[in-house]
Parts: sequence; C-alpha cells; structure tokens
Amino acid sequence: MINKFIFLIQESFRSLLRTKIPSLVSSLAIAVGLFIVSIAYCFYTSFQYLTLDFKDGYNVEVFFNEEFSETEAINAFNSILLMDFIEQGDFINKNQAAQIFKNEFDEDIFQLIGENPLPYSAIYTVSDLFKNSESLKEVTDELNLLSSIDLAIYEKDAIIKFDNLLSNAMTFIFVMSFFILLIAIFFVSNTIQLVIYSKKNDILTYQLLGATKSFIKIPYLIEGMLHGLFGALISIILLLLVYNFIDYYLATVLILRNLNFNEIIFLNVILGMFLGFLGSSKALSSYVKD
Amino acid sequence: MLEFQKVTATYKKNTGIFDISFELNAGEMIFLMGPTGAGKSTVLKAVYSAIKINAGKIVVDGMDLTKINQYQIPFLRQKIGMIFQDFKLLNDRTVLENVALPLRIQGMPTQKIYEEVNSTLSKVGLSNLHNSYPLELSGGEQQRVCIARALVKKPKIILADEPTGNLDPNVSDEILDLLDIFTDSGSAVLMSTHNFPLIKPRKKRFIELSNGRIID
Repeated sequence: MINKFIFLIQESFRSLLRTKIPSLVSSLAIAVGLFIVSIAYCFYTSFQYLTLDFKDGYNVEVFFNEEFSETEAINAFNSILLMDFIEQGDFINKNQAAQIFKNEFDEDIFQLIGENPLPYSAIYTVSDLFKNSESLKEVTDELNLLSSIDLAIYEKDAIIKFDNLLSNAMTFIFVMSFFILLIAIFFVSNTIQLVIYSKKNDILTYQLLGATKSFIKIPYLIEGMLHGLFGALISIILLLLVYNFIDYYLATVLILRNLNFNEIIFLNVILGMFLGFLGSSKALSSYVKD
Repeated sequence: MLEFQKVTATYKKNTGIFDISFELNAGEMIFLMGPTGAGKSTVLKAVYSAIKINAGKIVVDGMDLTKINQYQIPFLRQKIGMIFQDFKLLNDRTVLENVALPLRIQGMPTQKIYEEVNSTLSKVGLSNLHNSYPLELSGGEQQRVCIARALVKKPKIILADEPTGNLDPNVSDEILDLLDIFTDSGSAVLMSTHNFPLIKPRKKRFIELSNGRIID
C-alpha cells in the first residue's frame, strides 16, 4: 500500500514536470482567483472590525413610568438587567437627564419650565447576538409591553440603513468570490483535461494492465492539488508585496486593520489545494468514468 | 486454465463471436487463426472483460467472468499477461519503467520490482537496454519489452493479440520462440494471428475463426 502511494506521488510530480506550461497556466489561474478572494477577505475582516466599532453604539433607550419614584424606577431597571438579551445598562436619574438635556439643547430645564418633568430612564447595551435591526425591534417590542416602561426605543433608521449596507456588502463579497472561484476551477479543470487528453493512450494501457480507477485518478488529483499549492504560493507572494506596498506608501490613507497574515496563508493553501482537487476531479470525470 | 463454454459476445450490428467453446490448459499454446474481422480480438477481449458476453460462460483460472462485477475487472487483468500488436508502451518511460508498471500496479516493493524486472529483461534478451526509451528501439525490441511487461508478473495466462503483426518474419519467429519458452514453464498462451505460414511449422493447436464462429 505504501509502495503504491509513494509511486503515485512520484507519478504526480513526474507529470507536473512533464507538463510545465499547462501546469503554470493552471497555477496562475488559481493564483489570480486566490489573490482576488484574499483581497475580498481582507476587506471583509477590516469591514467587520469597523462594524464592531459601529455596533457598540447599538443601544436601547428606556423611559420608565413617569409616576415611578426613584426606588421603583431602580427596581424596574434592575429587573430588566436580568433579561437574557441585556448585557449591561446605565440608570439615568432626573438630575442626570436634566444635564443631558442641557448638553444637547443648551437649555436648563428648570429655568425653562420651572420643574424637571424628565422621567427616570436607562440606556441598555444588548448582547452581541441581538445587535441587528430585527432583534432590536423584538427587544423594544418586548420592553414596551412592560407596565414599568412608558417607552423603549432604538435608533431604528440608522441601524436599518447600516444593517442593509452590511448585508449588501457581504453579499457582494460572497457572490464575487464564488464566481472567481468557479472561474479558477474551470481553468484548472480545462488544463488538467488537456493533460489527461494527451495521456489518454497511457490511461488505456494502465487499464489493460489492471490498474484500478483510483490508481489512475490519484496522480492527477495530486497533480491538481500541487497546481493549487503553487497557485497559493504565487498568491501569497503577491499579497505580501501588496501588503508591504500599502503599509509603506499608503499607510496614512488606507489602514489594514485586524489582518492575521497566518490566517490568510492558511486560507490560500487550503483553498488552493481544494480548487486544484475539484478541477482535477471534474476533468477526470470526463475521461475516467466510474 | 481458460475455458470458453458456448460464448456469444456481440457488438452493435450483430457482429462479434458466436457459440465459441474451447479450453486452454497450463503449458499449452493455442493460435486463434482467421482473417481480419473473424473475431480473434473479440475472443481475447472477452477474456480480459473488455466486452460483455451475451451468453455462455468464461472461466479464467477458476474465476467465472459472468459473475464478476466492474470493480473486479482490474484484478482479473492483473492475473493476465497481455501482448499487443501496437505494443502499447509508455513512450516517456524507460524500458525498465515500462516493464515495472504491472508490479507497481500490484504495489510490490521497489527493490523486489528491480529484481523481477532485471531477471525478466535478461530472459527476453534486453538487459543492456533497460535505460532506453521505447522509441529508441526497433520493432522487435519493443515487442520484447511488451512481452517482458506481460511476463514480469508471472501470469498463468498470456494473451497475445497479433504480436507479430508489425514485425518482419525473422523477428516474428524469435518472438514465437520466446513465447514457446514460457509455455514450457507452465504459462498458457492464447495468441491471435492471421499469419498461417508463421504458425504452421510450430505444430501447435489452433482454432480457426470465420465471421465470429469456430470453423475448425
């Protein structure tokens, strides 16, 4: 078994060396695909980092029953804190509310109407899972059903806009990456198909000598994975060059945040080998049928 | 070793072989004779399961071919040595690598492969050419490589499909001598040919085919 496996690995390398130009074309196709997908991935992670910053501001503002005393309002505040979707909260008493009013409108509420009618209120931060427009709506609807609360609100329009923007950006990145990967698979498959076509007489000889389908297929599958590996190597080199260029010349305009280069190398290698494997499998299905 | 019992195997347009019966024993050589299209190659193809039989039964070394499935065909072929008119050598491999191929397919250790290949190459008189490529060899030498490749796995049955078809008479005789030697060591040989003058002096059993049927 081991002897066979070693032989099949040797066959893959032998085939790779004998078909240098098609192998190079196939590796380049994978490299281009991986490069664009990696750039998309970098955008995605940077975007996610920015999103986290923005989503820290996804809060629910609650106004307690205006007839409540401070003690009743604090009790109501504490009971809401215990709810599953609430992460933390800040209680705002009447004086703090007046101060906020003054900061926002530059008017003193006592001087304006002679008393402080502002209710006790609180600002709650929801758990990460609930930081989207749909969940925030559900949370506020649930809070609005409580008798201790006059009104629970969130910044609906801004959050919906941001969520839509986020969703569109993610869809675009996903669809674009998907099509680029399909194109790369198509290239690899066609290249390996050419290689297999040029060896169809050899394949027939192998079959007549008693080679099993897997014995015939494995070298081509490994060859496809090697194309993917070389493609990944080219893509990683290109990414390093682009990264260093941005870091050196464009650091002030474009900040590459939250990038884990080891993760990107891993992604390139695994995805490259997977693309090569898929391309080879597709090509083999036309010539070596099960 | 090989048994055909009323075997019929047809292609489209109703050509093929019909109601063929014969037995090939260990150490025996049978020539399949007949003009082009008589069904000689189809008989051989039926043995290595390259064509499905419609009726009858073929038994190869105890294996009933009507009962094997598609996945067992490679293992059947590993038991049979095959020699072709067009040699079917891999032109980008050396003689040694070509002859080693059946043993590679069986997963034999490399050291053992080299021993077997060198021993077989010396039997067919090619020990000095093991690093040559097929296209550097004459037709006769290429056919010897093909024979070595068939023999290296020590098969009980050797199928030879017009092995002398592309060779001149002297070389053809040498090839038959070589196959004869291997029948002496117990292998059974089934060889197709349309060259009656070549086999006539051999005094071996032959089966004559015409339009897919045995006529003699």
